[in-house]
Amino acid sequence: MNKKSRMNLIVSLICTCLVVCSLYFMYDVFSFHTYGDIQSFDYVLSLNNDQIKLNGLEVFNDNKILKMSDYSLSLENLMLKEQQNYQVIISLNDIKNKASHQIINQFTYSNGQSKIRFQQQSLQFDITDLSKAYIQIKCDQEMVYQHALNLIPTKKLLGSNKEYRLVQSCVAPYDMKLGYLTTTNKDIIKQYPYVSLEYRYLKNEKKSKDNDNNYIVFKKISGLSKDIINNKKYQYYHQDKELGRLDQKDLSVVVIFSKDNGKTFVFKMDLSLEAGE
Amino acid sequence: MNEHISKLKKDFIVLYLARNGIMTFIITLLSMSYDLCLYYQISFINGIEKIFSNSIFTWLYFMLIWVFNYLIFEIYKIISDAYRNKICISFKIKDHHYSFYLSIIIMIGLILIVVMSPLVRLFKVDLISMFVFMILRSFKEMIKNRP
Repeated sequence: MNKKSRMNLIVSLICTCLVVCSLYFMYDVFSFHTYGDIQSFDYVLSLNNDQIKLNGLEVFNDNKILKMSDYSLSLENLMLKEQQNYQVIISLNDIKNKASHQIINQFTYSNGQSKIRFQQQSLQFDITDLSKAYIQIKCDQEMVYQHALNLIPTKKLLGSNKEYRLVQSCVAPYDMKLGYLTTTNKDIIKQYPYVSLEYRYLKNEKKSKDNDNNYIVFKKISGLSKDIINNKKYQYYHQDKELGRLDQKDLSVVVIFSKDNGKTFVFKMDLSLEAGE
Repeated sequence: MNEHISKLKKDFIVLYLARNGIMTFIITLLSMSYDLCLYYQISFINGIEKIFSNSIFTWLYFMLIWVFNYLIFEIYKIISDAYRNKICISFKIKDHHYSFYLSIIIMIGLILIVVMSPLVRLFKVDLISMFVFMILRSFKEMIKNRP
């Protein structure tokens, strides 16, 4: 091998070693930011007509489990009978895979009850796609009401910095799935036992973004760091229609880690819509 | 007219000189996008889009892998050209001369090692594509230097 080739070979080998070291050390950060949660669908089901109002029911697939958010049902104009047991059946149809699943909830109607609230649920249905949804209200097998539901696809929100990432956060016009915070920094839970996440949006776009008073905090999640960080606990937020569309606002989250002696570690992450949405 | 032709030639020369860079860029793009499209169950084009739109760390790592691919190809080229005479086996079948490069066998061996190694899928796909590209270059050299 002549001298020139040998010099080239040595330089290339040194550069390759440097690049291999960088690849090795940066791999954790890269995989943390790139390989996120796989989500096949995320819709908000709603219905608004004279007889029935269903708001803010979010359904999505999380690792082969169907998750449903909490939701409320207004049935004032349906002429329901007092102290009767009713069943609310929500049918989810996947036309492509020819599958259909039903979620059944019960309630007892009492006069003067304007809204019936249902808690969030997890069901072992592996639905990969959703094409149609229906609601049926039955009383002892007798159909009282049925109607198709509107499917509103949610938009994915991205919020991250080098060590922290807000995962599984989505926004629809009046509903938001708040997601959960993940981190590569495993020591933070021991250093700061308490954490609080404040979800907020910009009040006035013409005023300064750095002024904390220019924000409205619409949801606050507080608790122990070990329960909240890296833990898949889903929480949801439903916005009143008078306050404006949530998906058109400038969203961000402020994360406050705190210790018993009062010391805090605070940072904020802007939430942006995923590219192409 | 002559100036026009020589100007076109200059443009093509640039592409020719950058051919290794362009090929390694394409190989990196294809391997990363294939890995993402398998993980997220999305289409190939969406995989390519995800490399650049997801996060700065994703495309920084993409650049790093591109540089790595270019460097290992350069090393392969230098070693292969330097030892060309020593790694060439010439043989005769029915009055036709053939020459076969030992390096191809070495590359196939390396591919088998990578397939069975515990590397992450992204690196497996990328290394296998690079080794296949190196084998193709050996074939090209074999055909070019036919006796």
